[in-house]
Amino acid sequence: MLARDNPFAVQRVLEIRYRLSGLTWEELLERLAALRFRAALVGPHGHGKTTLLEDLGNRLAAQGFRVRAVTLHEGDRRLDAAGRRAFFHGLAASDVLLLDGAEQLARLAWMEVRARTRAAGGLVITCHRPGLLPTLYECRTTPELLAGIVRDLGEEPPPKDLLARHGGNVRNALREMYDTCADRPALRSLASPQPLPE
Amino acid sequence: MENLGIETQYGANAFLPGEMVEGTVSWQLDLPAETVELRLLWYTQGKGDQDIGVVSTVPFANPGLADRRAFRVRIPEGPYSFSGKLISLLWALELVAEPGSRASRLEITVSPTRQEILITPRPPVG
Amino acid sequence: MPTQPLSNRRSGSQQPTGCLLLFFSLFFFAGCFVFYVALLRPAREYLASRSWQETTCTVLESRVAEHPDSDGDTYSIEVVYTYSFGGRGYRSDRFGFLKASSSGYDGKARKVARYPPGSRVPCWVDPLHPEQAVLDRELSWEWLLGLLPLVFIVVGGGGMAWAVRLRREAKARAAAFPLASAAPFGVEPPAAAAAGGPLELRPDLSPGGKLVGLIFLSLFWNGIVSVFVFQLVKTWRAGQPNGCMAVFLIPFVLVGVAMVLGTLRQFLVLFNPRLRLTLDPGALRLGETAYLRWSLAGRASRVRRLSIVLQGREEAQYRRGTDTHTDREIFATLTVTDTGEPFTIANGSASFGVPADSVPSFKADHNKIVWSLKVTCDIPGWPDSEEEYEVVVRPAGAF
Repeated sequence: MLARDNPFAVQRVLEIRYRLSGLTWEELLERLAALRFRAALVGPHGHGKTTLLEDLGNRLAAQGFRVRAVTLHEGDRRLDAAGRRAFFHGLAASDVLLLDGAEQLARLAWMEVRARTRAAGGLVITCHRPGLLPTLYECRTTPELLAGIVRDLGEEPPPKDLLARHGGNVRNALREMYDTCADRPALRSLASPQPLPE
Repeated sequence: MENLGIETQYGANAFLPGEMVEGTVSWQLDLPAETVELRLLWYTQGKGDQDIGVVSTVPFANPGLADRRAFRVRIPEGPYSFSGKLISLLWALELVAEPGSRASRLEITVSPTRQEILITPRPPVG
Repeated sequence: MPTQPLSNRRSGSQQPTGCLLLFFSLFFFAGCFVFYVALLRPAREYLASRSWQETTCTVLESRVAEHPDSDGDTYSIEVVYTYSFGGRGYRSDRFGFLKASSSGYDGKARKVARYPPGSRVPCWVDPLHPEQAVLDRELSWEWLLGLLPLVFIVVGGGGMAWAVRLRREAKARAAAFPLASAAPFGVEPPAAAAAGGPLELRPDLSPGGKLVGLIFLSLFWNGIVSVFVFQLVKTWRAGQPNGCMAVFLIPFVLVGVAMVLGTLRQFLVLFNPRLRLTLDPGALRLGETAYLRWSLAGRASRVRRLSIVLQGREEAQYRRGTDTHTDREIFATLTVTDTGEPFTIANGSASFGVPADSVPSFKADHNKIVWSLKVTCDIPGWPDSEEEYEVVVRPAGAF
């Protein structure tokens, strides 16, 4: 199967948004407000924290907040210049800061973020373990969740042990599904090419 | 209801590198646009994050709520449209009206054979 | 119905966050400082002392001083002596030029035994600064410890250069509106090859470079693991074995052993015959024939088989949250040569055709089409040489 036809291509997977479990978006936003908009989304790798953070950001933007987002990658121990500009300059109560990968920050850098973002209306982070900020939501995955995602992508249900083999990591499970589909015979190419007449 | 459309001459959707593409764009908007432009771009799909390259833009001055304009844009020398197991590279013409990011996209193929190049694994040679 | 425009999305990876440059510069400057203190300064004094004058001194005190530490006690030699120079009396406690303490009591005790209190022994005095003297001018194995900071200097310096390069690349990418680069396929052949001439190929990573990398990784990993292993051994010696910790450490120790073996293997590879490759033309074109010439420097007779293949592969990088994955898929393999004939192995050439219906080299931020020549020298009873040389494949025709 060609990359563009693969239902598990990154671009298609990213269109699947987060599915809350046990509460609605309204309840989640109320909980966030009760935590004074300073909270953490907690969960292991590949459990949907980044997706949930993005969706939360969209809903906060729809409520009129100005959302500023920074993503940290493995080994990023401090915010870089762009991140510092986004997080520390010109903050107002209408600003909500989203920090993806907060556990990567060194202790001092995290303390700086907490101290220098007090003027913002909120700070929501993702991290692998609780402790940095009050937990707003703990991201969990289930085989049913994975099956639902796969169904939405138009494919047959995955093997029952797929998620367990990846330790609950939905992202890696979907990447394995990509490989499974990629090994299938290629589909016919797109509509016949129409060149210009001679 | 808003509508944006792209039509190429003779309905062509496959081009050689370096070839000139001619056609018309049309739009019907509910809200006025400050800018309307046609963009020629390539993008990737597959197992990796998406890459996008906007090669050229054709702005349309003084866009009204509804209009029809002609365009000419040259296809660059590359990259070629191709598909493998991990990566597909596709080309498109995109008509974008701002503000509001209203858009319409027409997929095209760019290659020396006017066909998408397939790079699925094949047995070793030699 | 309007859709969301693709062209409004920012292509390209985000600017590298974090302070790589600061991190590696700390490594570098700390390494420089320790290297200066541990080796350079003592070495300078050692060389200067070659012109010092010998005189006789009287030992007042001598002992092996103990320095308790939770990681294990260390010891140093302490000797106090007096001497006369230029009609004046002086007192000094400098034994040698290295000041640090180290483990190993017995060797130091043997040295101290040669300087019992009251003995008269030779010492060397700086004629320009008679207050400076030394008892022992000899080099010892402990001087080698002064080389350890070189690891930090190399890693720190390399890391700084890499961080600066990353920053430059990220700045170049972060355009307000990502118009495609001037190179349509994102790849430019080297200047010499662009003109159509031949190109001497260099491996992506030299055998020496691989060895340095492996040494650093081995030292880093085993350095950390050894701390825990040392603690474990202490508990066993104290008669309080910690079985859980032992089981926990097994995989880490195995990885460390594998790294050491890998490093040793790479060290042996350094002694393999060196391959010299020339590709003509230096930048390949789809559908055209190219010529590859090679020669083996060193003992080419050790090589039983030489294999060179042209390989095309897709590379796709995915980044989400803090995770980064890069997948690779080979889509084309073309044998350039696969020979066991000794004369051809030592010096040979081959022509090969690049598939006409394939894709040229392509490079974007997350997705690449990479063409490379992979060379394997099969050496019986010895680690094989395996090198990869990335080559540029251009589209057919004048471009």
